[in-house]
Amino acid sequence: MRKVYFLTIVVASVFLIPMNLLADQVSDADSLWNQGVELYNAGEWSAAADAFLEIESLGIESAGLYYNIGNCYFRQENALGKAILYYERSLKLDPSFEDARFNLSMAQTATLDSIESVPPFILVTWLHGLMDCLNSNSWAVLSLILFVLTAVLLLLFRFGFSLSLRKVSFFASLITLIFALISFGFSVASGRDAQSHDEAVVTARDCSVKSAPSQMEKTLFILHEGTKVSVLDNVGQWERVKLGDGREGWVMTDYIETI
Amino acid sequence: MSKLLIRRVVVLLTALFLYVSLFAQGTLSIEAPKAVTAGEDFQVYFKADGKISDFHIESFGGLEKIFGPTTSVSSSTQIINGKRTESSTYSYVYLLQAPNVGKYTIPSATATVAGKKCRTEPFVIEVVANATPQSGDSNVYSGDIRLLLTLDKYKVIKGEPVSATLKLYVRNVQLSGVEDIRLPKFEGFWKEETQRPQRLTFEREVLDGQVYDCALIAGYLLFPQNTGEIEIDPAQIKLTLLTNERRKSNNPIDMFFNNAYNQVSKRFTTPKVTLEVDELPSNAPSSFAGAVGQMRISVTAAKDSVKAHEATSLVVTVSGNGNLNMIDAPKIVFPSDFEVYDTRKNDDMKVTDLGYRGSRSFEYPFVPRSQGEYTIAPVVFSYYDTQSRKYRELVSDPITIKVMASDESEPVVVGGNLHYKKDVKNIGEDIRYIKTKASLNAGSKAMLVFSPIYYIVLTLIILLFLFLRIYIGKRIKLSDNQLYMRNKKALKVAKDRLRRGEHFMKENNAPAFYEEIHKAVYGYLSDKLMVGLSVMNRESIESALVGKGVPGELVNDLLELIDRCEYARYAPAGGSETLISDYENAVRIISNLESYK
Repeated sequence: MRKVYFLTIVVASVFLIPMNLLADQVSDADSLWNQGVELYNAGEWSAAADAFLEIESLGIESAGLYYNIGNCYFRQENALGKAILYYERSLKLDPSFEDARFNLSMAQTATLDSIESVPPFILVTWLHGLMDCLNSNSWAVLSLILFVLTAVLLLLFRFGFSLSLRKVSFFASLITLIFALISFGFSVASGRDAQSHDEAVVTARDCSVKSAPSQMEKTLFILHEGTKVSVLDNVGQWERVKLGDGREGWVMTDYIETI
Repeated sequence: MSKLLIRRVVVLLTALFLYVSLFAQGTLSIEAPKAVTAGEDFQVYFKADGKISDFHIESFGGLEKIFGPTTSVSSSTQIINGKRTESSTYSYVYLLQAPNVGKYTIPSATATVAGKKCRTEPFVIEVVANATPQSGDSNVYSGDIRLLLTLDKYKVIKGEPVSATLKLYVRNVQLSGVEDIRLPKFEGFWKEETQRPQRLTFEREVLDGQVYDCALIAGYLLFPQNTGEIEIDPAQIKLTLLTNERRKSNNPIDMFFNNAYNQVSKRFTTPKVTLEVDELPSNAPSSFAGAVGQMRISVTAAKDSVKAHEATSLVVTVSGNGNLNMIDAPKIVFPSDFEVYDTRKNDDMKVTDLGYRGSRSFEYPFVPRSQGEYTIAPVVFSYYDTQSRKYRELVSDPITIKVMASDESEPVVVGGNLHYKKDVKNIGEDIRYIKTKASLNAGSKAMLVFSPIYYIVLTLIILLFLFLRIYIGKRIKLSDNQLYMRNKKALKVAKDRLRRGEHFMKENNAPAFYEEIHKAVYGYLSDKLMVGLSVMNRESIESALVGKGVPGELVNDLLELIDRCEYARYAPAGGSETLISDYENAVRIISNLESYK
């Protein structure tokens, strides 16, 4: 019994410690947030963006915050790249954020580059669609619930009163175990996506992609604001990027921003 | 009634036709040169398309009549596509002479042509001084041939039509041929050719006080597109002239036939012509789109009332004169429930010196999608008035269109009103609104799955599962053992009870005997079936035993025995033989049941 108490304390303290640390910042951030919303309503897009960006500079990251910043940039002239960057950041943290996905698709209609990406295998697309239904943390919680359910069903299987009940609970426990493992996998994959830094958005109006990391090299193609690229490598002030259709090249670090 | 009406209409139409045909005959016109030199003889024709009678002219306005009148008739017959038309021209001809320099007006002449009184318009003749014919052997054409491009205005506003004519003036020269006419390109203008005769026809005209033979080469209508001083590039013409220069020859025959001419070809160019084009004033109304001239608009709907889903149209007609050919369709704001299609354009205009005259109409086809009464906002059209030199804005009346229920879709009655169901149409698209509630943790980067909490909770779940598994397993094993013991002892306990029953049987104590038998059977069943005594009854025993696969016969025997025991305990009956048989029955049943686990 003493063991259980101990564990409870450990769990609670792990949850509570970061919250205590953030308490002061949260009150600041709350007022900044309200200020940002008011400015946005007044049509002061640029000032609203500054307010939200200040919250970001406090070290707070959230899908909702990035979404709001994205909206502020979308409203401004010549900030489409930034808007797409922040919508992508918002979705990276929470792939299930429906509003961010909608606004991103709206913003993408205004971009200049149309890149025909190689369509992935249908099952992969389908799995990705399923994975994006919930964010990493929700998948984690779901997997824990499913693990508990599996345990209960296994106990029922072991100690069930009748044979039929035991049969049913055996198969049910197998199914819940499989789903628990899938949820766990999704949680890990989604979490890894959220913490990766291998994708970027072009924020400059246009930028030329060179064949090697030097201004003197041949220009392979030109990318425009709002285009998403994968970052493969970095040499000094240059990043090696890859497009959705498989083309690669080197671009100046200043022209792109990592999601 | 209707027959009478038709007859009346026929009579009326016939009368109208006759009137029109009479009207077509009976015109009188005057034909004379516009310019003559003093002392020159010239002819004046009064021409009519019918027989002339009662011809009367008071005077010739100071001109001297030398001879006349003579009459002449000329007739022509034309057959076009098998259709034969005949026409005759009757004319009165006078030979006149102008005594002095000046302007003379021939007054109106009156006559009866084909039974109808006619009169001519007064005709002005300009008489200029008789220039001394240039004689001598030198080239005679210099100064006597002029190629001129004339404009009707030299200062216009952008878009205002200008009429330009290119004319050739010739005097005292014999032309033998015209070749290689180079027309101006009119850069900076939208040009429309209005006249371009196939053959040059010369008419007399006065230019700078001299009589010239003048031929129109081309007429244009120009719409300036640029502003500023625009210089029109010159036109060129190459003429072949005959000079009466004598051939220097000693041949007496040649000298005798001294009428040979020399042919000279020479190029002539128009003098420089510049046109000043002003920018339109800056205070243009917002609806102004470049129309210049005098215009009117009318807006009509093809139908006042229309059924939903039925196509109809709105027609906007701009009429008047000016640059009608450059007018774009005015913008019309239709109700959003109207499906509007591409505007069609229809022109009915002629080129005149004032620009295009006529009308351009725009048809806006549309299909109303739901019923109701709709008002289309007034159409606004503005133009620059070249007469009053300012902008005019024309606003039509608003147009009301009644859309009635369609035959196609079924109306839906909501609260006594008719409504038509329709899809919600997207009018515009926009991004979604920002999040107003501060969400500072949702979707933060702290991933639960990578934190130790997740694994602690997972371990807890596994530990709890293992703990419960072991704990429950032990408890069950324990109770299983107790039951097993009771099960094992069941027969022994029953045997003890039966032995005691046997003792009562020998004493012939029926109630005590049955009580012991009852207890033995119930106790045995309770231990065997692992069910508490208190919850046992006839039905639960029966179902439990059948569930264990005990044959029905045995169960019935058992139930019969239990019934007998219960009955005999309260109402003892029968002798010692019944007791013995019941005792044997009980022993048999219990030992039989023992074989079913």
